[in-house]
Amino acid sequence: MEKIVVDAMGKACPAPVIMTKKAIDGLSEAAVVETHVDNAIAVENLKRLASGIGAEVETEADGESHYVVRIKTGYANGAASDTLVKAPVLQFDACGPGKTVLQLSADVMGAGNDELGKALMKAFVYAASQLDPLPDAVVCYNGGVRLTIPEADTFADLKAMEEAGVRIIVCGTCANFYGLTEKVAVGTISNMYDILQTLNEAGRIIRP
Amino acid sequence: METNIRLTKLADCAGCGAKVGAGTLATLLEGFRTRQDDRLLVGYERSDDAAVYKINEETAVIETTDFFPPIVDDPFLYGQIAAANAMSDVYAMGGEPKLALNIMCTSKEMPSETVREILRGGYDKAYEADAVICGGHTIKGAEPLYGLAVTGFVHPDRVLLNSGARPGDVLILTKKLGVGILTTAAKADLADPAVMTAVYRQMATLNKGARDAAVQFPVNACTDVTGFSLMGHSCEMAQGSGVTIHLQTDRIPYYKEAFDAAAMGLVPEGAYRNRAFAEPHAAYAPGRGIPLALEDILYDPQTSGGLLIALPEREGEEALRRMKAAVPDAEIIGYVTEAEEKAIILE
Repeated sequence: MEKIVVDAMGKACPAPVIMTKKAIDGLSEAAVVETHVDNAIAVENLKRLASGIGAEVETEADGESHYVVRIKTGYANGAASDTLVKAPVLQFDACGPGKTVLQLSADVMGAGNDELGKALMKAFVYAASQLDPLPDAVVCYNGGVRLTIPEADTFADLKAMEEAGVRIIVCGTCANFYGLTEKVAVGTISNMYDILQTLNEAGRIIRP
Repeated sequence: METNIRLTKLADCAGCGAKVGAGTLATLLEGFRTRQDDRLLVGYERSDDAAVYKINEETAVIETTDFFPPIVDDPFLYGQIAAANAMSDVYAMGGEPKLALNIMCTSKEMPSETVREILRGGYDKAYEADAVICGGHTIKGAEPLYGLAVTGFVHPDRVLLNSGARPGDVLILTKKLGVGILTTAAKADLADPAVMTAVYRQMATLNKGARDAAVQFPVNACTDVTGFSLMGHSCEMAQGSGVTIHLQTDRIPYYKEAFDAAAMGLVPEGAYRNRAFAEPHAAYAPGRGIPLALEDILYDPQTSGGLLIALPEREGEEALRRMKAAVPDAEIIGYVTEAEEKAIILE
């Protein structure tokens, strides 16, 4: 994977974020953008930038005046693209031991009556939060993003799972479609690439 | 007016983000001899917005000053915002500004027409506030600065402290949050100019309308939300009053665009300082999670922010209704209870 180095040493905010964003926007394929900064605030802001575009991020401190932030972007043109343009070819080898992923694609469980479906979903998420071991990840898309807002009766259980280390991935396009982007209060807002990669890495996918 | 220089590029920090932290200040002032005076109703140790000195049974004088580097490139607007911000502390004490002195520093890159426009902005706001600019002091320096030293008056029995909030009060905030984040985004040319026009207009709006509406009600506490952010100023109010403040985060008015900018990492340094100061005194309500970008907005340093007013719940709706006539973005954003373990609960 290509690596691009951004030297933002000696730059005050917001310059490191702008320089890094420009580097990401200029990408035509998946790459690692490695930004060097000299203050902890720039690190925090770069972590927000990475999380905002649904990219993985790792940071490294070399003393108190040199930090390295690596942002792994998975698709073309950073935040500009939210689609599968450059997603890798998926390999289906779900037979081996792998991660357990909960797939929530609606806010109801099963088809028939939605009132019943909602009650079932609440019970399902609660039961999932009591599993031992817990699932490794939860992906929420389409109506499933409604489960991640504070008003949802599934919210507390999802929050508890997140606090216990379960990775919760919320489809950004879907949240935006339902006008819920600012209300999603559990998990990380992410993109199709991340959702597919998580499902692809799963050894077992559980659907309500 | 057209000018080729970009004022904000001449400054390191923007607006109230340039403020030195409260902890740093306390250390600097430690151990100095000071005179005691019973007529000094509000002094430094109260962590309030301005000093208040009682002259007689009818009149107390309010003293305050505020100045900062350019927060916007338009010099007239910069002057308006700096003046509105400086006079805000008088309104936050429940008083009215009457006299003001210019405080100014000009850098060598600034044409005299730019300097004149900044001053014109200040005079414009002083006129609107029924105050008189009666002098001042201007020096040359590395970075431009502008602001006012303001004298105001208030009846000694009607001083609005930031430490009088009582259980059963509701809290009203009169301007939207997110100004610090958006000016950071604007500095990087990443903010929508139409949004910034609204932001600058809000910053240039005097807190006079909010104050005039508030003093018609039995207000228990009042402060203006500036460099220490909603969280920092709420924390001071809660601790000073010996109560806990519950902030209902879904009712807090803020610029939606600030949320997006924060999620992109355009969070000013002051917000991290404010978080370090106030976060240890705050807790989430059970089962409540708040998006990080919204938290950043709550810790965002505001320049010329709105008033934060605590008054009995039964008066809340009527006070809000009357306030909205002057400041339409005002909202009830929380309530006050007896002191709990933390000074602030985020709901």
